Amino acid sequence: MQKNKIDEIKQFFAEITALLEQKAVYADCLYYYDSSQEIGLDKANKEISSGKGDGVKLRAYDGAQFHEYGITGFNKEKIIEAANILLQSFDKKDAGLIFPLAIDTQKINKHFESESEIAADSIDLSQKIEDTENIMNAILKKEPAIANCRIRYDESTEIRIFVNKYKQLSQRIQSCIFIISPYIKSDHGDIRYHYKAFFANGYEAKQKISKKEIIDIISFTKKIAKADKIIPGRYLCLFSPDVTGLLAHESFGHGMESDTIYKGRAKAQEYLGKSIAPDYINILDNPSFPKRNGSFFFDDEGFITSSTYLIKEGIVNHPITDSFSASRLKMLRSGNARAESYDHKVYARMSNTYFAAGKSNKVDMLKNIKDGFFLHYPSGGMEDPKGWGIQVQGIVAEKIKDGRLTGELFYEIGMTGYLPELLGNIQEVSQEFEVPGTGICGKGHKEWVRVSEGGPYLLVKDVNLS
Amino acid sequence: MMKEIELLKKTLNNCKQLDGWKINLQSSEKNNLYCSKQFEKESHLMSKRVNIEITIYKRFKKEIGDAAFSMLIDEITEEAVNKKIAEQLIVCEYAKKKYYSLPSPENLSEEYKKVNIYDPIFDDQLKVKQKIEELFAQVQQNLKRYSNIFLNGLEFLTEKTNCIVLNSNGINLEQNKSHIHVECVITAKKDFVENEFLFELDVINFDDINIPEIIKENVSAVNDLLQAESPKAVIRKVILTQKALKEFFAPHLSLNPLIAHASARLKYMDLSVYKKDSPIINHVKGDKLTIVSNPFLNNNLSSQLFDGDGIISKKIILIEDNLFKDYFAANRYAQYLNILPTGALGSIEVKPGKISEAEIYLNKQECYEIVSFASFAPNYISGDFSAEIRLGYIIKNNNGKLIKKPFRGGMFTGNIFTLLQDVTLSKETMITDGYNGPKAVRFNKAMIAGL
Repeated sequence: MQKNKIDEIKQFFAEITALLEQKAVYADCLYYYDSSQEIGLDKANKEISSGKGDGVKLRAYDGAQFHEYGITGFNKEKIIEAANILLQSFDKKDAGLIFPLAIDTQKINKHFESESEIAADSIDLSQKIEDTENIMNAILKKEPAIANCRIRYDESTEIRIFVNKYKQLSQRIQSCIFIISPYIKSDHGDIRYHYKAFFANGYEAKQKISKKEIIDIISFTKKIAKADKIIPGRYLCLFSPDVTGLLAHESFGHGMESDTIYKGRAKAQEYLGKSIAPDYINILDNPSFPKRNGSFFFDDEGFITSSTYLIKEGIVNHPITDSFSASRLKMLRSGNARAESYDHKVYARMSNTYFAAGKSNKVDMLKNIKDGFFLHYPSGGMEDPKGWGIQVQGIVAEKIKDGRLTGELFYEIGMTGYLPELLGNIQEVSQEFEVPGTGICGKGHKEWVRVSEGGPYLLVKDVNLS
Repeated sequence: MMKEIELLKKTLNNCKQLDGWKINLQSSEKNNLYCSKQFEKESHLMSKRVNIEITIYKRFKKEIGDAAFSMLIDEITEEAVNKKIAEQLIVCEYAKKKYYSLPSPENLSEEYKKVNIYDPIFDDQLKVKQKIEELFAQVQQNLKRYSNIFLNGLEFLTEKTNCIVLNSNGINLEQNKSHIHVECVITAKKDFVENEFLFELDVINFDDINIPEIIKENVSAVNDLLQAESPKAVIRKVILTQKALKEFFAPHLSLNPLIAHASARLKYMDLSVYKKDSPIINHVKGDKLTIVSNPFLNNNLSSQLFDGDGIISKKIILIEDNLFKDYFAANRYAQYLNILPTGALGSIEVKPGKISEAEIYLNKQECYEIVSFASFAPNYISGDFSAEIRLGYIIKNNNGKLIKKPFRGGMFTGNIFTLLQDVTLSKETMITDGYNGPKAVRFNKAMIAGL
């Protein structure tokens, strides 16, 4: 999108917010544009598609609640019509009945762009298809035991233009993700799969898939074919960054969303300012973390992003917030107000969520385990902000004996427990640190937004696996 | 929108290089109310969304190339569409695959058109808003009756969708659907203990929402949670009922592996473990499963009149007495496997068993009942699962009198194909969004991983 088009939208939105604020206490406008290129391959299928969509959301705050209108496209006449529908949908409130909203009043007019080493649009589609086919063939030709291998390439461009009385902001974020899923018939007769994703803001994502990565993926898939189910019990475990991240996200992060806290749905509220973990534990949410799947420059309420310590030195610190719940809780805003699209409501949502790095060394941590498991590749989890129950599923566990990985795998394992107990059981935190997540996150089973999660390796005792 | 569609059709028909085309148009209107704790209204959202996806087809002797793309509504002009077609014809060359033909209008009975999946109230969005306000007031009124129960959040999300599928062979199908989603979170407090329960409801018609009954049922559940204990690790008989049963057979986020392996796509990918007329589960000791996909259940959100290719949906027997019968198949995979296409997958119907619900609960040994999971997301291909239990009951038989003690937490864990080797199905049935089958299902040897 050209600069003059962005400026035109900003100028028009300024007029619309002024129109809405004739009656509303506060108003804003947000333009959404998303485009994508997808390539999906396996030995039986080749699917290529591209998508494009845009829309506008207008919001008016009457002093107590929001009135919102979302509409497809950018059509000035239709947007004015929508603004008039909104204006008719509420009454102007008396000053005494107004609950002020947490809005940043610093004036900013700025454009932001994600940075990449290789712009995805500089590479021909034919090259992308060839690269995707080469990855699939490298796996299928190298290992006949692999029944099929699904490769997916997703490239997306997201443009947001936000305007209120104080802000005229625009951002363009590009991302490329390769997902590799080899399928194999297990020794037990069932079909199993491995899953690995590679993310970057540009086509450099492809460079992350080295020959060694391919060999590792094949070798791991073959081991999965032989994997057993674990005997349920409590074990000493080394968490990989992806398991560490999922724990931060599902088990703790959801309970630190301010709308959840305001609704009285989060146990974390009782713990604000109190210790919950050893003092070497720090958990952050950071939408401004560069070059990650959950990164953005400003949120869907025009708040410039920065990092938030959810746990700082073992103490429950500060939630991530949206304007409605932050104003009622009298909390500081963070740039975490996000909506799935222009026809969805904004909620306080996570972005890149992770444990901070510690001081231990991963190799030494492994050496300290006489009998235990290395946990990695979880498939997902579920939040329980009120009960602080842990549910992480689809983990692959590798047996550790006398400080060494044995190569013996256990498949589709669930981790359960009580969050404060598990945090208290973290014995060591590694210096090695990764935020590899490429997933999407829902609020319950809806409102999907892109996120990442990660952190260091964690040494944790008494982990409940089944 | 019809002006843009006519322009698209005309431009696609005029392009001589194409061997076929398809247009999928989806329009939706939302009218949503979001409330925070104690019925504080946070937002009222209205919206209108339109999505157009175009697929073009180009034949290359024994192969065909296809390319799907969408365009911004405001950029649909004859010139822009022609430019896009030229670009996508190149994509067709890259996406060459074994030839398959596009569907043509089917000579079927009109019966499918009689399925009701639309509440006419959605013709008038003002009436929808009014209905939402009425439901809001009913929840307020009904919760007032319980002094220890508090509202933490309440959302009414409504959507009217209109789907149109058109293709170059003359397919022209249209479906209107309404959807009301109610999400409510309540907390029960007693002394210094409090527990919350989230419940959701998905229906087609406003008249199918019975607020007093829903509130009564879920207040009872959240009160039970106040006394709930954590389970120990056990291998026992486990009974699934209510929402847990629906989640087991028709999970939210992916297909149940029992159904996934009946997919023609999975078969073509060489990943289905099913063989026609062969058992789907080995060494069966208990009831044998019969599973049907029914896309024509009245007033059920999982009902679909046709699929995205314009194939009219059909009722399919997937599994009968533990034997695999038929794949569900989209147009392309049906042709590759030389079977009939089946249209959209519908509700999962499980044939009931022979014993009563009461007998399902009558066990000499202690058994466990699970009514709700935090989330049930099985591995769709291997059948492995581990799901946290949100609410369950430990049931003891005290000389014929059943004593139920609530529990929460811990995981229901195992493999679906192994678990179903020994299962007992009740003869009483229940019907809900996406599931129609036994009201209680007992797995005679199942594992609960305790805390």
